[in-house]
Amino acid sequence: MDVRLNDEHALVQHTAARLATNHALVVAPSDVGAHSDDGAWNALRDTGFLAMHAPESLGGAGASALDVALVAEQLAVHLCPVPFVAQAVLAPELLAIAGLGGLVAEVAAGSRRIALALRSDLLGIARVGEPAVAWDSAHATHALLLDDSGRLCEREIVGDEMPALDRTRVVRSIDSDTGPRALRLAEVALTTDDRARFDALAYTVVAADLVGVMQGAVDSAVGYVRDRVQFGAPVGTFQAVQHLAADAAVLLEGARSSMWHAAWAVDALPPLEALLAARQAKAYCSRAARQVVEISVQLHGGIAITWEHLAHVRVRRALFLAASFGDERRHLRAIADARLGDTRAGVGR
Amino acid sequence: MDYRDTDDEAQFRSQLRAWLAGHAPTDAPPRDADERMAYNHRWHRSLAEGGWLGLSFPVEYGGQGRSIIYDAILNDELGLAGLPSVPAINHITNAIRLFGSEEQKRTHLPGLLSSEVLWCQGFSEPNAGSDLSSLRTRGVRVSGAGTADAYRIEGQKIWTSEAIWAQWCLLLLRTEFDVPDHRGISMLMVPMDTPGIEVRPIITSYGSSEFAEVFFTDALVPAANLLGQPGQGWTIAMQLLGFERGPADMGWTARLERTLTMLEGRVRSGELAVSASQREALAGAWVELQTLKLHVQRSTGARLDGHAPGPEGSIDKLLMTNADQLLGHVVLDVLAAEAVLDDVAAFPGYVWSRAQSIFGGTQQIQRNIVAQRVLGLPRA
Repeated sequence: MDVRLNDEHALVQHTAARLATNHALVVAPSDVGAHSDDGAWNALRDTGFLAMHAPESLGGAGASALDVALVAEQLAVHLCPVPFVAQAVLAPELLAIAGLGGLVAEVAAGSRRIALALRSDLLGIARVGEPAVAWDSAHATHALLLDDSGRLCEREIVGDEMPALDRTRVVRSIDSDTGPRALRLAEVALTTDDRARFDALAYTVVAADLVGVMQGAVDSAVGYVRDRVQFGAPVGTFQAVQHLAADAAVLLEGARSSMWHAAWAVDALPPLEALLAARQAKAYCSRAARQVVEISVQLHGGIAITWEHLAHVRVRRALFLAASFGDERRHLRAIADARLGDTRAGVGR
Repeated sequence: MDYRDTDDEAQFRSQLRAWLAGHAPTDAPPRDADERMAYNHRWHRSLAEGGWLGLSFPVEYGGQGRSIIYDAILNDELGLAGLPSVPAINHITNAIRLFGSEEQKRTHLPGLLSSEVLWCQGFSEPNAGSDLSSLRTRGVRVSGAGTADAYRIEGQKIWTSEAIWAQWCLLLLRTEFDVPDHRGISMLMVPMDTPGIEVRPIITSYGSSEFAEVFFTDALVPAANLLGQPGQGWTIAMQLLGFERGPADMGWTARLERTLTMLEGRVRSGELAVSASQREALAGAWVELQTLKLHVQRSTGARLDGHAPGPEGSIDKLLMTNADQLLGHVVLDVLAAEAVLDDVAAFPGYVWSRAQSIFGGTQQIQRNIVAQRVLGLPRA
């Protein structure tokens, strides 16, 4: 057992953080919409962060899920409004699983922008004909979904931007009745194992984004209570304030420890074990993130309730991601099913 | 990064399991305190003879010089098997290793590592709990013609685990009086059969007596038993706290895991009927315990580079507290009547879960440490 990041992981973290601050600096809520996204997207392409987890043999960057998670985390620390999760990781992952090397290469080259069609309850990838939304779809022309047999399809995104909570992500509506038809991309259906491994990656990368949001929220709150003076002293000297900050730090580090493991598991463990590890991380991070952004709001006081302060951008991103790909309760139920067996053996359900 | 055992670690784990199958006690621990102590002592001697103690301790002092991962594996396996833990002497052996003279190391380390000699730790006092540096047990240096150079000790310690049976005590006491609180404290190795020492057991709320009060009345202890320099005791004590974390936490974590696994087994078999919300609560306890375990593994990994354990250990302790107390509530909830119709079904575990936020630095002290020493918030 050796649970440590190595120098290469540290380099990935550093590169992602620099990319976020150089190309998509967000210091106020108004910055979120000010970035055209091209600069950051080109930087992701030039750094080899597009199609990041897809194998090199299929045109991807062949990075580990842990590397991918560390990038997602760093981009989120800086509230980077770049659709890394859906368009640089999850969509190309589906294309790679379906063996569509040509499309993966186009994504990696930055010439194709493909997002995901999620079920409108945000629990996972949509099926053709289901109510769906184009998730994390800024600048994407198409969204991926599955047909009834589990074969990968794409459809053009023509719907309007929805007033979704997360100001750093674009969600567009998909009209499955009258919109463009879904086109089948692959003849072979995704297997159960493919689905489990894809879901594991999805839960993990979203969990990593949540860890980044938490880190940003803790950093911001700690900086604020150090400077803010009341009763003639920085409020950060008061024990009531310190204990809230400590609770947030504990949640953050617990979340990070869960997320590292889930990310490692995506590549190292059999699909169902990786899925359980990912559910564990997603369940913990979803709850912890809400607690941490709430503590951060409390520590900032009234300023955190204003439009001008970044606190609400973090709260929005945290709540949105907590609900995306299943919230804590959804994953707890699935974990209970996996560990306690069939629900029919129980009562009161 | 790899959460799995290496080949060497896996081999060690399987050898350990095989050895446990032949050597672990098969009878339940006795309820009587003295019998229980003898039972644990036999077990510790057996572990030492089997070569399972001092795994990460330096070879030059009688250890095996392995990485601390092996300590973690041992603690994990004992916890998962529901066996008594290893003797809690990590901080004492490391104190002697790091601060003792060569003679002190030669005298004390072999007996500690072989579990032949039982030690206790005299830190807390009735009026010095969280505020440990205000401790008032005094040692006045006495020497002169016809008198050996010694400390005459007056005072009282409390919560001293296993003091009833210990032969030695690692004692924190005040020996310097014209300096600030924490700079007047020294660390002394005290033979428990010294005249003037009286031990009175404390009965815990679930009826056991692992703790005691220790009273010192004109107890004379040679000054040569000082560990480090006069006034260095606080520094030593602070350095030792981290040794309670990491691999040692793995044992407690495994114990909690075992409790949950056994409960889950009874649910899976249909023996315990649970509601949908109780199923979620059980899954929630598993998530919390996993988080604790994964974090302890990460903390253990951070020490592989040779870094001494630092204030980050307080995060581990707080995660441990959360997991233990959440599990304590889930056990009460799921067992329901069974938990209250039998005094030992759930109550001892529950009491320990409440003690978790008190011993080894309270939850509040741990939060202070995280806020001030990890996050860098200013002190009042």
